[in-house]
Amino acid sequence: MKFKLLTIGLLISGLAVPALSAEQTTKIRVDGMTCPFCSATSEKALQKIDGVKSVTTDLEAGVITVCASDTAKLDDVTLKELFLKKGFTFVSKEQFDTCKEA
Amino acid sequence: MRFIIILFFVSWFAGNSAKSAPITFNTALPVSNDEVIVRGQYIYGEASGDGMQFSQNTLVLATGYGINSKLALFTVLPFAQKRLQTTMGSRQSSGLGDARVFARYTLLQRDGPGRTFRIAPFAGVKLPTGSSENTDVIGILPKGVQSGSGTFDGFAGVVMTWANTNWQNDSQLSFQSNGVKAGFQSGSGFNADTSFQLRIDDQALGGGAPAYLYAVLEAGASFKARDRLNGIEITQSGGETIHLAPGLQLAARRWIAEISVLAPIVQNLNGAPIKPDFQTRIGLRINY
Repeated sequence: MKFKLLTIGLLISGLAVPALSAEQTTKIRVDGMTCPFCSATSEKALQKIDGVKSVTTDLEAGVITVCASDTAKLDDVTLKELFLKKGFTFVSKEQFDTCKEA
Repeated sequence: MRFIIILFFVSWFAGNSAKSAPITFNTALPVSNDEVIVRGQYIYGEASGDGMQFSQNTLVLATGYGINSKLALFTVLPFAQKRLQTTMGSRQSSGLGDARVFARYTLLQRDGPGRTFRIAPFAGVKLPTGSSENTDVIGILPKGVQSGSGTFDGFAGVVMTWANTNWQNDSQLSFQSNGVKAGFQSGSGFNADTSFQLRIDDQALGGGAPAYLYAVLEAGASFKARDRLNGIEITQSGGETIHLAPGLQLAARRWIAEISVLAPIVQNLNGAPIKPDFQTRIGLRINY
């Protein structure tokens, strides 16, 4: 009986714990952004992607840093089309396993 | 005749008021796909000569919409109050002026990290949305004091922008050809403009949002053919003007505020008695 209760308890606690997705940092190199207007419009578009938690821009370097869940759609094709619509040029991206503090 | 002569400087006010970025004219920087930019400018200008004094208050509302990242549509609506003071009294009008509608297409784009070079031709039409038959107690107002021209006028040009995060240069060439109303045709005009914006300060606004402060210097040259009445040139009309316009611009993430003063430094108006003195502009642009 105790064993059955323990088993049921473990099953319920297992179901109750929400599945946690991993976070990752994506550094996106974008050419053509020259002013705060430019970075704001790009950040706004990235923030609309499901799973994106924060977006910051280094205008001088032309790098946008995105902290997002690893399920966020940040592949090259998506990014190229996103920045094309904004009037800029997607160059490349690098991904890291964790989100760093800004 | 005297009131026909003042047309040149009035069109100088109107032509400059209808332009968008940098401060007094256009830019080749993009309006993103499905994005809207709204720009408002208040412009005050004066002209004088031969015992006459002209003043104009104009509120210009311009909107830009990105059909895609290369093609944008713009509309410009001016609302103006004009007043001409002569020895015989005052003549004035107020209301909606002639609207402009035009399209701009990015033909060439070369991007790098924090920099861009673009060339964008544009073309459009000035619509006779302003009244050209206003009257007062004396009678019909002179053409230069009317709210609108009464004609459809076509214009086209090309703008180049070379920008990085520290400075920006915009340069534009444009041409306008004017229609005919009641035998009168305002002379065609050719404009060459350039603007240099230098970032002089970084500011952290509320919430840490960055903003760039720019010192701006713009210069322009206007070449206008003589007006015609029933096909005959009006001698004291048309001419050339060169102007300078220093200003300041604060560019934040979602808005840009700007101010400038435009003054003619060279004026050759074929003997026209009244000449533009100055023009001040205060403006705000918001990105949606």
